[in-house]
Amino acid sequence: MTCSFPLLRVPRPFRHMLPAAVAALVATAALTTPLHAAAKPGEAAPAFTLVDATGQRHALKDHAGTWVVLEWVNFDCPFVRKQYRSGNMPALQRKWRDKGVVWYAVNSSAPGKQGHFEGDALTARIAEEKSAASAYLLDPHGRTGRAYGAKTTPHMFVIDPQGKVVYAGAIDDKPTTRLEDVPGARNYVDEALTLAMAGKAVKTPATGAYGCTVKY
Amino acid sequence: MYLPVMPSASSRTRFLGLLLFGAAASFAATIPVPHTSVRTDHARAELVSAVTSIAPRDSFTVALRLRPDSGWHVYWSNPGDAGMPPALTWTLPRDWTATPLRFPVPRRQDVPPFASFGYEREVWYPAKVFAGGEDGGHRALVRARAEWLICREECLPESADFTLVLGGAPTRPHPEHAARLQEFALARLPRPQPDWDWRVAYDDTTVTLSWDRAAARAEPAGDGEVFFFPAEIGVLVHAAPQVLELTEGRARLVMRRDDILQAQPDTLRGVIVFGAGDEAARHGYELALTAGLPGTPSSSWRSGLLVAALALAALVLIIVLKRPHVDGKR
Repeated sequence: MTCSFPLLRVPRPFRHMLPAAVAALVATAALTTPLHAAAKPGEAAPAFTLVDATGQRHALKDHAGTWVVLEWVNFDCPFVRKQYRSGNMPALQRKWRDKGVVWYAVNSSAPGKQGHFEGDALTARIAEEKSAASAYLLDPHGRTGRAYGAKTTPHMFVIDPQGKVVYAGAIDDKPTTRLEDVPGARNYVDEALTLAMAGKAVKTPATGAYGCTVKY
Repeated sequence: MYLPVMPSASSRTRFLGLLLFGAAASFAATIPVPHTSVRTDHARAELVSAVTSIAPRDSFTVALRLRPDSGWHVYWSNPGDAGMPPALTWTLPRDWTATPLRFPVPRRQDVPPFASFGYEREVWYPAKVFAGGEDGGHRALVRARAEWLICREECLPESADFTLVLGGAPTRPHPEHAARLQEFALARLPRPQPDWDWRVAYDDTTVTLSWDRAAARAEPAGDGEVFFFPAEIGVLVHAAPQVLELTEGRARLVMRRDDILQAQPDTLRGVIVFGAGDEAARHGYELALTAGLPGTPSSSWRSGLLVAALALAALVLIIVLKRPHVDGKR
């Protein structure tokens, strides 16, 4: 009894069809699989379990019954720096954590790519940027980023206590790197949380995220 | 001014020398120095004016020329999945006005799984400046601050401050710039929408642009490579391939619809680009298309059927191949 894999023993008449068969399968996959899965407003937020900067585990399911914000971050991206150097993002993080929201900063930069920090360098950088997030989660393989369809930094997701996405998209309506554009900007996350936590419908549940591309 | 008494001849000479120097320096400070070329960390930037002098109420072209270093790129008006287009802030003489920057035909930069829209190597962004009614006399000062985002894998904001010094009437074209602006800036702008019986249709997963092939015969690259650059985000998946289908009468470009925002604007705006290769071989046309008939529900139903048929065919093939063969050969 031979141990060879059956497909390798392709009957001669059918061998020329093999490339076509493979092509058909690939085409099927290409037509049906989106480039990314993505977290859409109105749908369940994808599950995740990630380790934070101190080595502690965090899972979305731990927070059933709580509002959760996911903020895709890259401290070296000028669009993220605009939010942190202006103090805007830390202020938002503090404001909503005081109201019981769990606010995760998530980094999906692959090792060696821009924005990837570990260990002491990471702890120092978090302190330097004055991040007030509940935790900074590490997603170096990009699995959670891809599950959410995180395209840019920043890219924001607001998840309700039932685990449903109520907002996905940009932090605000000023897609620039200029610090002076922060004060007058319409902050979509602040707006979404204010409305959703008061039981009202979110006015703009989805916007086009802007920023640097996530460095998968 | 009280002049101290000069005790000796040498100090008098020294004092006169200082006085002359001071006078020259203050005189020089009133002559504005033109500053039209800047070197930033990752690019060379220039402000190129078509004229050296401009008469009252006349207008002229001026362009921001950016040459990113090798491996870096700058952006189109819709930067695509990430990035930021350049912007110019003018400081103009009284009653002068300027248009915003215009954008030449862009290219797609694929950074899997993303795509952005912009330019590598070199791009000229033109604008038009309108002189006011007053005669500037011998000198008019135009200042401009350009800000842009330049990216390789990482992105960095850059800026440059320019000063143009122009004479008054009569308007005189710049001997070299006028021709270069025409070739590199104006000729590379997208052309106006041609009359090709354009239609656009949306269904659940695609946006389809179509046009009359006979009318498009004027476009030499009409049946070849084509890509539609949307003016706004949220309509298409930027990194998805766009499929050209040719029938007897019409050409159709089938594009992947953005699955989150699913934007369906009343008017689809963007630039459709035919051809590949260098700038001379690529022709872009500005489009503004009001949606026609809504996409028929059967089109997505049909594509679902096609997928099922392919999957079935693949399954059959696997079953057939797994049957033990009987020719006895190994």
